[in-house]
Amino acid sequence: MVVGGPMATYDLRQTAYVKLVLHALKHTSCAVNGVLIGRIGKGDGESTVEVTDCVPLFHGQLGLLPMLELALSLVDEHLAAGQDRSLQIVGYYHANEQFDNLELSSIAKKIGDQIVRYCSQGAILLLDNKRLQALAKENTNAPVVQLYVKEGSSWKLGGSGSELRLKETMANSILNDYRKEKREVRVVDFDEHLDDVSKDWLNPTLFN
Amino acid sequence: MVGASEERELERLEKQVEEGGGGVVEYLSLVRKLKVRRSNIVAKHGLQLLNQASARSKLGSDLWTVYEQVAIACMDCHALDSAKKCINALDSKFPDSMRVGRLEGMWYEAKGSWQKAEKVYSNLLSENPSDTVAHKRRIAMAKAQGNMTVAVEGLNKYLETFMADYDAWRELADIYTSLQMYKQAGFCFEELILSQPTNALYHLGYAELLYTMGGIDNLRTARKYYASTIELSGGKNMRALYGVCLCGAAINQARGRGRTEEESQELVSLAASVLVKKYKEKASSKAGLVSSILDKYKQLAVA
Repeated sequence: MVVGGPMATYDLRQTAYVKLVLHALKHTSCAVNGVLIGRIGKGDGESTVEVTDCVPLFHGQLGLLPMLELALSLVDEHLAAGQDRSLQIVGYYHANEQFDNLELSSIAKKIGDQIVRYCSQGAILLLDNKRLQALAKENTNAPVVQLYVKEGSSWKLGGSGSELRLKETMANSILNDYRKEKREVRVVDFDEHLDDVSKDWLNPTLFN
Repeated sequence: MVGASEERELERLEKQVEEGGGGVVEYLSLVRKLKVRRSNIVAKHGLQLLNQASARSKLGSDLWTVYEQVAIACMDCHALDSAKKCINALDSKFPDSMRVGRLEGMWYEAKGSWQKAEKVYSNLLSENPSDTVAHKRRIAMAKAQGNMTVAVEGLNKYLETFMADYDAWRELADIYTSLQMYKQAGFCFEELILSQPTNALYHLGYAELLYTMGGIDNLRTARKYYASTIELSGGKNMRALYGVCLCGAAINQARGRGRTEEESQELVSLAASVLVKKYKEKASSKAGLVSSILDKYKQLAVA
């Protein structure tokens, strides 16, 4: 029996990973956030959360409720009406405003709590800017985000026994390539959509 | 805030400049006018421009404004050597200038040499206590180091003297919101709305804050400010249109069952129809999804 919280392996797919990092790279002077989409699988007694995609939400002011509620409703509805019914919101990602700030803010925790109400293995991914900077100089297989898992009433870094891994080994190389060509300019988040509805928060052509 | 047509012009010039089609001077000028932050592109093309003697002489007296703009852009991109060169050029032309002094302070900030920067700003302020930019740089330093309480104190003190600085009130509201001190943020918005009652964005900001605070009174007031935003923005502001629908649903849920507010139904229906129309025009792939969500809000507003 598992005590104190679910132990899970979080498989972070390239689409989700690269998109969220590009979102942060687009808005270097602000905090950014978004939701993670994926599916929960079970096998061999422990669960795997496959994070297949993400929806970039906001940049700048992350602490206001109305548009967040709206965005979550729209994403939920979009997934419910979609072809793949196994997909759901499985987490939240966040990048702080200051370069060396690795604190999980209370806003991030609140949003994370909200997601955990609907998905018990919901996780938070926090961008580590130092690792991202180092990645430009030297390629590694490690993701540049930290995993937070809810255990009891608090969010724990890494979670006991939980693991985050990049599903595709090429993910960081692809990320580096995209950075060089400034692909981040093309990321659309929900904020931008609200300013111009013709911009699509699904980012259908981002990786073309 | 940049209007839609200005945004398009900016994007057009940016594309042209990046593709090597010229127009750097116009682009730099537009960036200054709109006060947008496009540091990578400004630094890259600005430096190229400034390195050409013929381009420099064509700029005439604008040369120094461009040096300043490019210096700041370089600092934003952490190209500190290039920034220093620009600052040195300005220093030679304008020795003992307060404006150049501020750039020197910013250069230390970009380096992370907070104490040296602080020294520069205190010197500037002792000679000229009404240098608002130096005051605000100090507050920005506190924010950059993550000292939010110091930043808030500094901004409050600043606003006691310079109470007509709307940008400062707006910044303070933002910092309070990120600290989840919503009441204090609300006070800032009230000041802003009192001084500029026709600025739709202030009404919108206040509405979003009130909604976040929650409770039926705040939600009712939020709805009023979303409605005034719609009026002041000619019905074009998506957040306000959505906001009215969100409020309608939230107010009804907060009230409890059995009592419907007539006004909220009509307002929600109107806002919803404007939204759907807009999506059908501009983003038809999303029209179905949005329609479906709005129907849910409409139902919640009367259930």
